[in-house]
Amino acid sequence: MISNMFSDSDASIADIKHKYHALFEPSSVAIVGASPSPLKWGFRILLNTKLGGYKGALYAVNPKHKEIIGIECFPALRDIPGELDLAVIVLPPQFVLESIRECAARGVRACVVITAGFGETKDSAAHFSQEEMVRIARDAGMLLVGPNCAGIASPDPHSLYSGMVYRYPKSGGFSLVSQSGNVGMTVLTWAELHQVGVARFVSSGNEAVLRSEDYINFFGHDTRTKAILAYIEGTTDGRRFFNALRETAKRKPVVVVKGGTTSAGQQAANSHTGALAGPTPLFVSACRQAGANVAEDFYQAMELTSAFVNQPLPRGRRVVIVSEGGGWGVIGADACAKAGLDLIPLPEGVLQELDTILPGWWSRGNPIDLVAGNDRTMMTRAIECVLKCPEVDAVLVLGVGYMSSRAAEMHRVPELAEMGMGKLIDAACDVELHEVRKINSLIDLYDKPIIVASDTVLLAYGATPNAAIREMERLGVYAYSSPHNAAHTLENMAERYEYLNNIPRK
Amino acid sequence: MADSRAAALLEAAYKRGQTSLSEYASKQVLAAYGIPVVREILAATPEAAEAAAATLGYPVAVKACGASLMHKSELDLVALNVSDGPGVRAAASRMLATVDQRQLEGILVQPMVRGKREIIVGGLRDKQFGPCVMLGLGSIFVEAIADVVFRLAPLDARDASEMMRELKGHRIFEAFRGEPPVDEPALRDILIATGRLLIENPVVQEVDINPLVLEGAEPVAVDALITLAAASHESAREGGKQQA
Repeated sequence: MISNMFSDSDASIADIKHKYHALFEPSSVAIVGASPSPLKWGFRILLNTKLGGYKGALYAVNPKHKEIIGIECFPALRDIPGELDLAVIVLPPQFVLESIRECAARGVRACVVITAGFGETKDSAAHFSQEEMVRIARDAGMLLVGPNCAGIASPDPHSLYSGMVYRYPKSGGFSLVSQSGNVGMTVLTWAELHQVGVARFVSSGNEAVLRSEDYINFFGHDTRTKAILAYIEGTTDGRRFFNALRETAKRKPVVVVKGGTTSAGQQAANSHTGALAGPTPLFVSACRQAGANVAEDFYQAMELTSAFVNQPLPRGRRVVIVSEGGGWGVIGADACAKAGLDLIPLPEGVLQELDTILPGWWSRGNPIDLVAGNDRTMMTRAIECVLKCPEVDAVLVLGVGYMSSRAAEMHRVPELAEMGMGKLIDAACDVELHEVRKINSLIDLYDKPIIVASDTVLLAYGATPNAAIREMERLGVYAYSSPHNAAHTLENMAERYEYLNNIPRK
Repeated sequence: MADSRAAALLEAAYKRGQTSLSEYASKQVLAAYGIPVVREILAATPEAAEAAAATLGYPVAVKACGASLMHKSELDLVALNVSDGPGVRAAASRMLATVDQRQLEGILVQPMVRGKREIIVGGLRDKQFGPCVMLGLGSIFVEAIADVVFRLAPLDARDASEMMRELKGHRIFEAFRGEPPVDEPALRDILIATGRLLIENPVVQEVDINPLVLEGAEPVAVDALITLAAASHESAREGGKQQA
């Protein structure tokens, strides 16, 4: 029986952790239905698990082979020696039930059923098979993910990336449950690109046994998870989802993206996962009431979740913008106003201190325009000046990494190299690297968020990588590509602060 | 704790196999939950209606009242802004003549409520989320504007406050076109009470307070409809048989 309440007792939390560790921290994994054909998922999932560098014991199961890409292959699950924590099942649908029975008989602790063709179809026999799957798993006390899912990932502790997703982000505090494997792929790709550390990923599929709220509940108790992202198309039991969300949001930030918010989207969702997409306004209201942050766009959702992992919460909505250029400052000011953030007038003391840092012709207002000054340390000195001010809750920085961006161009000019200017350019870049590290240290020093947006991020991972942006993201300070997304994050962080401190949110 | 007066009204309607309460009975249930409702008198005859109007003060609204009378405006069973005795008598006589007496509880007379702002408060049982409370901007454009927000019952004070803030048109709760800011605690209490009504009375399927008029700062329920669970028919009859 699935319980509607999410108990907080120490014993039940220890039990939850123990159970889910079989899934996310297995010492041994078998890929059932592994294949040597690169065109089959049975091959790709084995390959992905291998390329992910899984540190435990990895086995393949297929009666026709002795070994596939260097991994020992067994005729059946029962032939694998020793204990087996996790089975990933990629068999054709007609063989899945038998395999789950074997898992149960063998004492496998957790099962991930990749195979589709069950509850999401209109076929009653397929629905019956899914019901049978549920019965076997429950009787055996075995966790079951899916069916019709894209797999799981947990970089720590065993470098487990097992599923259809072939992305291998580093480890960190970002956990994701997704009702779409496709969206899961996007999030993990984004995380890998921007060096965002991931704790757990699960594609929940048809949610025959384990539902989104079960994973959310586990993430809430999981010491590796710092913030949670949930992509939800529908719920089986809305009240149960709500209860889990509310208990979890008291402890950790949860960002929810609802798929299927329009009637067109909803039709796609129904045919896609077999989930019933509830009426959206009610769902969104319920998520907010539960203390979650709701994002409409999943890029905004990823950025927000990552900020929750890496940055402290602002203790209010008072924001100062520090901008490298005029236009971005103007757009940033609009974005903040739309997001309900207060662009406060600079206090007299701050103005006077900034007069000593910035050129005489500076704007003397918020946004602070750095007027394209040449001194690379000017920005961080200006940031620190406003960040330490008690009347400021957060700083929005617009435009970082221009020296690194220019250096790539300058290194293409042979005349500069002949003049021995290469070292000078590199030295200027080093100053900029030092400055982005300073931004990161200021966040910790003043325990306030610094949100950075810059157009340099657009080419930061291209043919001429931007060292400053990459260094900043390595340290956990994400670079936004637009002031609007940056303001969206700040607004939602302020809402989280208000929620935790019992202040009515907007 | 369930309100016994409201529970008795709902129970009686449920046992009679009704699928909804009349406007008058609906508002009595709301009033029992502390929700401010318009002053109104249920009259049996045109003369009684005229006397009621004199007591309440002109102008008045005159409405045919009965549990099965749903679309009263469309059926011409509502007369608004009636300004004198002959007008009240004429409206009441017309309604008494058109409506089947078995459907009619009486003629409902109310003073016209003055207020520039109309909102909707609703309660429903969602298949996924159970009892929920809705707040929306009203009244005739509600479907076109679709500015609505929900909370799952039970609501606490913060939930209710956030509902008001979350509406796109939340500014209508501030000082607006010469009207004072809404009495926020009063509106909050209405939202919380609507949730309580649903939780404490499982027979209630939906609550529709439309419009809830802001009379100056004060919200007042002018029209209301409580519908009962569809299954109540069968269970009510079976219950009756068992007792018999």
